[in-house]
Order: sequence, then C-alpha cells, then structure tokens
Amino acid sequence: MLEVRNLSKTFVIHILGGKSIEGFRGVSFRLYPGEFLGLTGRSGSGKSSVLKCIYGTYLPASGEVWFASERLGRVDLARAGEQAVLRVRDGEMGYVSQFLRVIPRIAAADVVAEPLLRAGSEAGAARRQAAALLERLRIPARLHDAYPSTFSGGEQQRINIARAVIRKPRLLLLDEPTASLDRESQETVIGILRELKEKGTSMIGIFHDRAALEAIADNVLELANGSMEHGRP
Amino acid sequence: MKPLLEIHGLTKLFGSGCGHCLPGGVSPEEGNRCGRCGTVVGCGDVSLMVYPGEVLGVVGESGSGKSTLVRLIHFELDATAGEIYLNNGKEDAARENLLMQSPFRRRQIRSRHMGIVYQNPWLGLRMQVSSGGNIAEKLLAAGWRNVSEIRKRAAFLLERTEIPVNRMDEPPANFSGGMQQRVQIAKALSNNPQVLLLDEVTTGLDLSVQARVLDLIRNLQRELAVAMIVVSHDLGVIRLLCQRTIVMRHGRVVESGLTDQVLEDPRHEYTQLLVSSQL
Repeated sequence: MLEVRNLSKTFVIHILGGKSIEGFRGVSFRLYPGEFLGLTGRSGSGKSSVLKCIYGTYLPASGEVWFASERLGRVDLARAGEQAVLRVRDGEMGYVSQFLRVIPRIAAADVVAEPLLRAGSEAGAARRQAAALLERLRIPARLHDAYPSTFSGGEQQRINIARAVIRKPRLLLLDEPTASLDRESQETVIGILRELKEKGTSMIGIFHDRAALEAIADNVLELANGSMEHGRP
Repeated sequence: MKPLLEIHGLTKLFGSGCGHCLPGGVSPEEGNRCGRCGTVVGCGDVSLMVYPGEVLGVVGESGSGKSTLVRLIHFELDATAGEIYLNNGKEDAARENLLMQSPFRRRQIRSRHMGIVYQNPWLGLRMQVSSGGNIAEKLLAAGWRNVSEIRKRAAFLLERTEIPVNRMDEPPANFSGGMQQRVQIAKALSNNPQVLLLDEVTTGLDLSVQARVLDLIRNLQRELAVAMIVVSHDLGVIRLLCQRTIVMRHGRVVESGLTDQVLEDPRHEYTQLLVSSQL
C-alpha cells in the first residue's frame, strides 16, 4: 500500500540566519493493506514530521513516498505535484491530529458528513451516517447541531476521528488520536480503527499510550537520533 | 484534468523602463522598483494554474502585487507581457492567449465568464442604482435580454446572498458594508462565471460580518463548484477557503504549494516571516 524510501526532512529557518534543523533522516518502511505500523520514539524524534511528510503538509528534503492509489496508480507523493496529492487526500488518505482544526460555525454532524457530501452522497443519508458514527463515539445527539469549537478537548478529538474515518480511507495517518480521551472512548476508537483495518485500511499511528499501541499495532518503528529500528509492539 | 485558467509569465511594469531593468523589470533581489528609472514591477513573470472547482489563495503584504495580478486577469490593466488562457471546456475550442485578443473580445470574455468582488464596494457597484439594477447591468453585458428573466435572476441571487428581496429596488448606498459586499457577490455570480476573483473581500468588515460573508462564499463555492482566486493578507481566510496558495512579494511569486504546506512548512524567508507574524 505504501513504501517509504530513505525519507528525510530538514527545516531551514531563515530567521535564525538560515540554520538547518534536522527533523529525521533515512526513514524507510513498507506498509501492507490492513497493516498497522506504530511510530515510537521520545518527543522531538520526528514522529509527527514523518506523518506530515507522507500527507504532504511537510515537503521532504529527500526520499520517496510510493502510494498505491486506486485512482492514480502507484504514485510517489513526494514528487507527484499538488493536484495528485489533493486527489489522494480526497478519499484515499486521511490524517488525524490531536488538534481539531475545523471550519468554524459548522455543526458537528455537518463537519463529519462533509467528506461524504464531497464524494457525492445525498445530504440526508450523509447526515444520518455521520450522526450514527458520532453516537457510537459517545457524542450525544443534543451536541450534533452545536459547533465543535465549543466542545471539550476529548469531544473535539472524536469529531476529528469521525471525520477522518467516515469515508473509510485506504491509508490513515494518526497522530496521538486518543491523547485526551478517557478509557472508554479510547476503547471505542480502537474498536473503530480495528474494523477499518479488517476492511483493508492501512494505518500509521503515533500513540503516547503504550497499551493503546499494543492493542492495535502489528509492527513498530522506533525513531531515535534520526535512525530507526523495526520491531514488534 | 485540464486547468481552467492558465497563466504564463504575466508581467506588468508601471513606468517606461530603461536599459537596466527591461524587459522584465528589476531583478527580485533589487526589490520591485528600478533604482535608475523608477519603473515599478507590479507583477513580474507570474505563472499559475487554476483547476475546475478549485480555490487558489494569493497572499502577501500590501504592495506585493496581489491586486495587480487580479486586475490583469480581469483585463482592467494592460499586461506588459505574458499569456492567459481560459479553457471553456469545449474540446475543439482554439487555444487563444486572451491578452492578444481585441479589447471587445476581452470584454466579452470578462462579461460572460468572469466575476469579481472588490474590497471596496464602490468599485464593484453603482451605489445610486438599485441593487437589482446592478445585477441587471452585468446580465445585460453577458447577453441576457429578457427583462422578466433578468428580474427573476436578480431576485434569486439576492435571496441566495441573504439580501431581503423586498429591498432589491433600493440602491446599495442605503446598505451596510456587509450587505454591500453581499450585493457585490450576487452581481459577480449572476453570469455563472467560470472564475470568480475575490480581492480582499472581508478586509475592513466587523468580525461577525466578516464571518457571515466568508460562510456565504464557502457555501456558494461548494454549491456551484465555481473556481476562485482569493486574494487576502489574512492567513485565516486563506486557510479557510483555499486548497492551494501562492505567496507574492515585490510582484513576484516567491512560494506556492498546498495551503497547509505553505502555512506549516514555509520555505521562503518571506513566507516564514509572514507565517510567524500571525497573531
């Protein structure tokens, strides 16, 4: 599904006189359909940067990101160009961060239904599907018409997850998706991720919580001092 | 997918130029004004593509050439050099550089296929003519002739942009700033444009009014899937509306990319400064 080869990221900070800061270097791995790869390492080791380089939010300094796209075929996202990355993001690749950055003044259920509408679903059906998913994530119906910006951190995080999984992407990038969830919600989220995995979605995830990682990861990749090690969770 | 709007090497110099700065204006390292003859680069060698249904952001500080770029695309200024192509979707249509067409043909293309909303509503509207009349003017230019059809379309658009239809015979001069902006949007959309140009449309509006105008633009964009070029110095507006963004400085494009990439991993010195200057 995904093959990352020798991926590296450096940031050149002009305000610091063009100082170069290394994000990570030499990251390579393969990810198969339905596989979950956990990224571990102390904070600052570049875990989030790896995910952002795959998603296209960061431009890698070097390396390749080969994605087996359904629509575009095998494509190197590091070099594919903006239109190709946008097309892959639209339905095939999802990203969940620990922070919610949604469009303001849109009801929670509409935020979650929006990816379905973009894919051409009928409005009523999309909203019903969104509501069902929110219910499952323990966001009560009375909140479905409220704006997520007013929600608690844990609620916002679940909105984020719901929005990312509702279209069942083929590749899902997860950056601490359960960081501010209570045990029960965390288990629900893991359950939803497991179902997606069984249907073939590949995932790369950063989990602060060791137990959550062990509950779902097939393999782990440890980033330390820019190098990496493969292992079992 | 074929781009809808294609621009290559678009250049606008203000001034006659001299041996030092011609043909393209002073080099970007020297800024935007020629030290010898005073010729200013309003827009220097700008190339960009806009794809169907896409929203492209243009950011940069005041004087960076954002509005000049929009006005060149809208044929309000004559370009010094460059090419602009608008793909009308017909496979057999001849590919014509619009900048080489006659003024008549360019006006025709503008009336039929483009819409623009300015920061200052006085530029986009006749303040003493009724709101419905403002829209009718644009429809007439686009070739509409049936008066009752025109009136129906105007009423529909004003309703769509949340202007009470019973006020369509009032001139925009009677309206608040936010309402004037919405009349401008109604007028700009009246001909079902292929490209909508938005030049700092929320700058200077109260926050709540700004929010309402932005929501309207976003909803209309989703409904009509109209391609847009959004000029703004407000990175929040850009993040909200645009999939891709170009950054301008001294009339040149210094960086371009996916909006989240430009804002989170800016490479150019100027973009880094711009992003770090955000409140």
